[in-house]
Order: sequence, then structure tokens, then C-alpha cells
Amino acid sequence: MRLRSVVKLYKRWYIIILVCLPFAAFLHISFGQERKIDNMFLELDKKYRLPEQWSVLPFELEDPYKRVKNGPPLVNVIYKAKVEWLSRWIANPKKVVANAKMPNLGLDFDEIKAVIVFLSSIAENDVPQVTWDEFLLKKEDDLSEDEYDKMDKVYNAGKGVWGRARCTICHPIKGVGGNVGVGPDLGEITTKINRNWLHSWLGDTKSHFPDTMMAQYRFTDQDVRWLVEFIMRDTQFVPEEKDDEISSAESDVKILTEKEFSGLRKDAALIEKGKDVVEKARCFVCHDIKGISELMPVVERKRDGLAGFEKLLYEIRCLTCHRIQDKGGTYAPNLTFAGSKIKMNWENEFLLSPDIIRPLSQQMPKFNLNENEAKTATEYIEKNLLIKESLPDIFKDAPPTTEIIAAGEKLFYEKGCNTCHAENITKGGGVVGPNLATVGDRLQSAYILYHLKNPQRANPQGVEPNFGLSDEELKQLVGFLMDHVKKKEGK
Amino acid sequence: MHDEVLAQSSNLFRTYKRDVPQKLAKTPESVSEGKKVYEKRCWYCHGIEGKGDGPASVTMFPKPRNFTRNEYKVRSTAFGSLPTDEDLFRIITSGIEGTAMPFWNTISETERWQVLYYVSTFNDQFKYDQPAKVVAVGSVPSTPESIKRGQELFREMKCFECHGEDARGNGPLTVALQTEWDMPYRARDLTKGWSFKGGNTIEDIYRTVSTGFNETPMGSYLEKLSDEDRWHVAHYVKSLAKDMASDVVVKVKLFESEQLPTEPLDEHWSMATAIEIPLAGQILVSPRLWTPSIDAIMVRALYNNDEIAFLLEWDDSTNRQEEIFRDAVSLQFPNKIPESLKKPYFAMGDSSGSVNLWSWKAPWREGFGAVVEAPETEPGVVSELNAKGFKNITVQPPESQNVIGKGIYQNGRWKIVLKRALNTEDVKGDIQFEVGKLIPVAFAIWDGSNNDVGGQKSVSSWYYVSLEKPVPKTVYAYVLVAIIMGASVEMWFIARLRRFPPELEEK
Repeated sequence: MRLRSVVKLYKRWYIIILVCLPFAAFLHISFGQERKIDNMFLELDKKYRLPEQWSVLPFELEDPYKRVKNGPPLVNVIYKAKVEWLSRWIANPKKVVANAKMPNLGLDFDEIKAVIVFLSSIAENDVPQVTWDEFLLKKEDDLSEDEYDKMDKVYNAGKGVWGRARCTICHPIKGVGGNVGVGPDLGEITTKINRNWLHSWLGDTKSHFPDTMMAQYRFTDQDVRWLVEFIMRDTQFVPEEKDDEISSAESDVKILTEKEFSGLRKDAALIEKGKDVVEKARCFVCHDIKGISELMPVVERKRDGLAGFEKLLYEIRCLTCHRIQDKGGTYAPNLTFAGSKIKMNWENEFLLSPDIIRPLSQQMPKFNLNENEAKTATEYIEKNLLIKESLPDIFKDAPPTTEIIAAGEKLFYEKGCNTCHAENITKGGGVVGPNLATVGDRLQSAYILYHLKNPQRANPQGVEPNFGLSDEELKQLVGFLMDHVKKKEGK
Repeated sequence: MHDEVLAQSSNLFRTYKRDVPQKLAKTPESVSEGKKVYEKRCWYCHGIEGKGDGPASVTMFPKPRNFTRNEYKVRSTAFGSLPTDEDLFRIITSGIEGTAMPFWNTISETERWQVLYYVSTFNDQFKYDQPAKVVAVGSVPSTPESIKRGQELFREMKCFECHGEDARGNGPLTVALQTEWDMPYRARDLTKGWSFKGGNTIEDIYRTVSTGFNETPMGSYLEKLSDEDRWHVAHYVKSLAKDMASDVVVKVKLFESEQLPTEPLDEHWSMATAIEIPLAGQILVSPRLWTPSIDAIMVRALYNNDEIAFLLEWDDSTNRQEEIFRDAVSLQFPNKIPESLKKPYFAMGDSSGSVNLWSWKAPWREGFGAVVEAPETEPGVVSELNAKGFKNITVQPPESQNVIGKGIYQNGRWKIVLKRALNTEDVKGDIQFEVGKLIPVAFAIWDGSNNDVGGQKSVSSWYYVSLEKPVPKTVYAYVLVAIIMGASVEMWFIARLRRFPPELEEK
């Protein structure tokens, strides 16, 4: 009530300001404070802010790890999660999702009830109803043989989407996986979500949670339907059956049932109490909750009109795994100098269809980027993510001779590079480092030289030893590696 | 004014000064004078454009205030509104304890007014908002009933969600924000009276409860609680807040019973005198700890004819441990009690003076890369080391490891017992305790969830341990004998006077 009047008041002010603005401009009334800062200070400030080797980027990068509110907005949570699940979750989040980051607030059952009823009172739109083939909504035992086969086909297609999207990089399942440490454990997800919501979420995650770290995959509706089927059916998403002892101990914990909830939904006193509990328990610190946002005002990110690479970064959330300058994660290679490192033809191809580079590590998910998007990304990388010093390219004018290549090959095996790297598919080799079969397509020769000179300079965390190679040896090795291109693969 | 500076700097902590002198008129000249002050003294932390992101801000936690937003904490005005000029003057004059903000009573009052006028130009709200109403602070005396009611309200209002059941800043919300989300909110440890932002008098606490801290989870209770109830809460909080019992010497009492206590929760510890020692981040050697989370350690000790035992306690809002980051504490002694005033370098000794370290590390559960909680009852790992500087540390051989210890984590507080024989065989590497001497001691604490590891730790400078000489029983006998002798001489004298009364008048 109070909020609404405040909003109204603001609206009136907006109108007044909008009307007055042209007059103000006409009369040279300045709205901002006059403040001229000496150029020396600004220069000094910039020097501290930006390490010398970094380029000035055309837009400020958004760090997905630095969010204003870490929890999802709670406006439509009642449509997303089942009431029983919500009740168990608020009572003890870690018991429901192993890697939950929400604390146990120690609320009693009456308070939990009130909170759920309050949250249902602020809900806006139900999730759009999706029409599913009728047999997909049946339980497995009720399916006829024919229906089962059809369902199984959808399920298996979903399994394929799940694998290509590499969901387990972020999401652990019953404590296994989840290398990046950002996604919730999906081991019991079937007890939480409803099918329609999952369909809507996978199709457009950002509309439900603008700050989510989950990538917006370029799925087709077909992909989403397949994936939903896989998640709703596969046993890995169903809780394991518990021992009788544990489950009898757990049954002491009161759970709000759908039935009890539907009787309470419109209880105004309970809604008011729920709001009070939410305010006192400080839920708004992590969640955007309609009606009490003024208790902790925050700066919202303005994302209207994002375009080009900035839009792509936001939607795919590349920086959840990759790092550019001081923003982002550390799971995937640091891209700060990717433009000086990678050949752009390869980069473009890789973005369209990611391939394995490091055999022991996870490969990049297939986001189904289109050609335009891949082009935007490569152009940005090529232009902005550069090493400032110019790297010498010893084979700029003439490609390496066969003698150099042969000497390089000898050196490769003498120094034991093959312990960690496989030179090509037939010869085999170690799997710790990247497979070098097509390294000449992937890396710029100047970068290979720069890297071999001192591997830790290019990547301080790298494990590759510094062999202290002489200039002649470097030349041979670079020539040898440059020779590893696709057309010669498997020679 | 000079006296004022001296008085301030002799104090261990910054105090919130509420008196404000006559206001300087706000004119364009005073603002531009303020700009000069700002660009000389403030911008390095607060940023040249007032965004709280100056070059030095990376070394700070809490971060310097961003003046372009209304995130002012200590205000006399309602939640969400701007502070008054007087509020800003008070903060500039007093500084903020627990942060890098110094007290600027070293600059003239005029300069303080000028600079705050300049600071307020960073946020246009100061220009357009109506001056905010000041929340009146009355006065209600504290009573046991009021404190009790305050305690009930502390629960009802769910203050414990952030401040913790025992008010040590270890509520579930704070723990989640700190360790799961790496967010900059840290609830105040209400038992540490010296660390309250904006003062720890009852009026200050009442004001904080009423006005809240803008843009933090600490909201205003102006509407949620009646005026009277807010006083109850303030009285309860005031009753929790303790001053730091700081001293320079840990006075170790002789423990008459046979066995020294080995359990952290042994009731005999109450016999020992506890002192508190302030700690600061280690910033002498890289990697430095700019943002320490542990600011004090409580120490007490007991000894008997054979052994000495220390009880070390500190508040740590989390019990979280990572693969390589573990909560730990270490005691540091010189290898030998120094003959002169010269001691080894306080930070891990130096080439000319080796130190003896007793270290205790929290146990942690199995699990790679995962953040885990240390089991509350397992003893932890104790080791004895020697150091001659940061880079020259050796663990003593197994036969020379004679410190035993045990730690326990309860309600946001670690309690660790470390015990050793007074004298050991390793005369070169171990400190040998002697009764009656001042033995230098220093402390270090690592907070695993704050990513403290190696040289990144909270440290103290040298303090002293003194094993107090017991009073021999014969001392009491001498007194008795003296009293009896004195009395008998007196009796004899009186008796003699009675028998032979002196002639009063000579004729």
C-alpha cells in the first residue's frame, strides 16, 4: 500500500521533470554539480586502475560472480517449485540440495507456512501452458509398449542434448560433477520443478532471473522438449530411496502439503505474517522480493539495448568459466590475450562447434551459436584482447623448411614433449597437455614462440616446464608445430 | 586542538565524538576549498570521482564509502535518507573503528566543514532532497528487566539471523554471505564493544537500531519496534558489549592442583587472569594480509611445578576450512629469554634471533577443493617449529615435539589449549620457562574462510608472559610472630606502667 503510493508519487515527479526538462535546458540550468577534476588526477587514477599490458575495452565487462542479489527473484517462485519442496527447502536448504547456498534460517513450521503463502500472494503470471504429447505426461508404468518406444526416443534425444550442453560442468548430480561450483545440485530436481516451468526456463532463462549465471543456450523448441523429457524421466534426477530409520526421523519434520496450502492461499492475516517474517529474516538481502525492495535498494544493471559481443557475453555467460582481465571465473582458459594467441579462422570454427583440446579436461559446451554470433565474438577478440608488445614472427616471410621441421621433430622427442602432448593421432602421446595434431591451425606462430620461450610468462599457472631453449631450438620447434595443420592430420 | 590529538592517539580505539561546533556557511568558496582538502587527503581511498575506488581501496575491507550513492551508515536521520552535515562532521572527526577511516581531528574544523561540503557534491541528492528529519534520541535508564526484554526482542526481531545466537556476528545469514557468496556484509560482533560503528554509548546504539545502516542488511527498526522497545534492545546490546581487557603482560598463576587443565572448557580456567591482545594483518612481507578478519585474541595461562598451559580464545564467525586454508593459531617465543631489551624481530624472528613457535591447526574433513566445516570435537594438529625470519622455518624433529594441544569451536568462538613442560631437553630450540622473568610472547591467527594461509595472517607484536612467584607459607608465619611479639612487648610495657606508675608531679 505504502509502496504503491510512493510509486505514484514518483510517476508524478517524472512527468513534472519531463515537462520541465526542455525549459531547464533552454534556461541553461545545470542539473549536475559543477566539478572539474584536474587531468593529472584522472590520468593517475587510470594508471592505477588498468595494468599496463591490458587494453582499454570498448565496454565495461560484467562479472557474473559479482551480482547485486545472489538468489533468484521470488516473484513467481510458487509456479516454479512445488509447495512441498518449498516447505522442505526453507526448513533446511542443505538437506534438500546438497550444495545449497541459502542458510538455514531456523524458521518454525508456522513461519514457513506464512512465508510460502506470502510468496504465492506476490506471484504475477503463471508459466505458459505447453501442450505435450499425451503419452509424455503418463507415468512409465502406464505407457503402452508403442508409447514407451516413442517416449524412449524423445528421452534418448534429450540425453544427447544434455551431453552436448555439458550441463554437468556447472551442475553436480548427487554430489558428483559441478566443476565450476556455480549450479545447484540436480540430484533431486524432479521433486521441485514442474514440466512447464522447466520448458519456459530452458527456453529463456534470463526472463526468469536476469542475473543468472546459466548460459542461454540457443536451443530449438524441439531441443528443449527433448531435454525436459530426459530430466523428468532419468533416475539420476530422482532422490535415492532412504533407509527406513532416516526417513522415519525425517517424517517428524512437518511439511506443508499442496492440500493444506490451497486452503490457506488467500488468508490475509497469514500473508501479512509471512511478509513480516520475510522482512525480519532479511530474505531481501539475496532475493528480489516484490513489495519490500526499498528495504535494501540496489543498483540494477541496465541491460536494455545490449548488442554485439556484449550481448553475447551476457547471454552465454562466457565469463562464468573464462576470464578477461580482472573479471570472470578461472575454470576455462584466460582470454585476456586470446587475440594474440589464437588464429581467428580456427576460433570461428571452434565457437560454432567446440572440439576437444585438452583430453583430460571438460570441453566447451555446444551453445549452438550462429555464424553471425561467432563472427562477432572473433572480431571482438581479434581487435581487443591483444598483447600490447608486438610478438616477433620468425616465419612471417618464409614458411619453415623441411630441414627445420625435421630438426624440430627430433627436438620434440628429445625433450620429452610427448610425455604430456600427443603430436598427432597415430603416434600418440601424453594427454595432460593439448593434443597438437592441428596446433598450427589453432595458434599463431608468434604466440607459439612467445609461449615456448617462457611458458609461465604466458600463463603463470601453467605446468609446462621452461626448457630454456636456444633461439635455434625455438625456431625448429615452432616450425615443427606450425607444420601440424588439418590437411596433414594423420600423415 | 593539539591536546586533543594527543588524547586520541594514546587511546587504542577511535571513539565516536558527538559534539559538533558552529557550522561553517556553505558557499562556493568553501566547496572549492574542500576540493583541495579532498584531493590532498581523501581521494587515495575514496577515489578522485568519489566512487570509493581509489588506488588504496584494494587493500581495504570494509571498502571506502562510495560518495555517489547514499550508502551512508552512521546517520541521525531515518533509514534511506541522507545524513546531516553534522553527521558527516562527526564521522570525519571521529573516524570509524574497524575500518581504515582515520580520525581527522588533525585538520582544522574549518577544513572538515569544507571537505564535507565538497564530498556532498558527488551525490546530487544532497542538492535536491529535502533536509532529512533527525531521529530524536531521548534517554531511558537501563534496568535488568529492560535488558531481559531486549533479549527477547533480539530473538523476536530475528537479529540472531545475522548477529548470531551469542551475538558474535556468526548468524547463519552472515556465514552464508561471507563464505558462500563472498559478499561484503559482515554483521557486527556485538560482544566487541570497541568495534561498533558510530560509537558504543547507549545513545549511539539506540540511534543505530532506530536509523539502521543504509544499503546494508542492518535496517531501521523505527517502524518495527516502539520507542520503548528500541531502548530495550539497545540496553541488551550494551550489556553484551565488552571493552577490550588489554594488558601487556600475561600473568600466569601457580596452579596448586596436580594436573593443569587440558580441556578448553575446563572450569579451572576461570582462576587465570585473561587479557585481550589486539591483532592486525601481516603487511610486512608479501603475500600480505590487507583485510584481516580476526582483530583480537584472549589469552590466559596457568602453571605448576612441571608444566605451563595456555588457553587461547578468539571470535571467528565461521568454522569453514578449505583444502589449504585452515583456521590456526600460533604462539611465538624467543628461543631463549633475552638478557637485555633486545628481542628477536617480532614477525617470525630474524637471522640474529631465532624464535620458537607453538602452532595449532584446525582439523578438517576429507574432501578435495570443497569448503568444509571442521569437526567441533576433534583435537586438531599441534606442532613445534623454529624460525629465523619468514623464509627460514623448520619443523622440530619428532623427538623434540613436546607441545600438546586441543581445540574446540563453539558458538562462533575457537578455544585452544596448548601445554608444554616448563623445561625441555632441547635447550637450544625450545623456550625454557623461568619463574619471575618477563618472557616475550607474540601471537598469530589464520582464518581459513578469509583465505588466510602462510604469511597471510593476523599478528600481534611482542607481549610478555610472567610466571608469578608463589608466596611462601613462612611469610604468613613471620607476620604472626611479629604481631605476637609486638603485642607481648606492648603488654609488658603496659603492665610495667601499671605496677610502677610514673610520678606525675615532681615536688
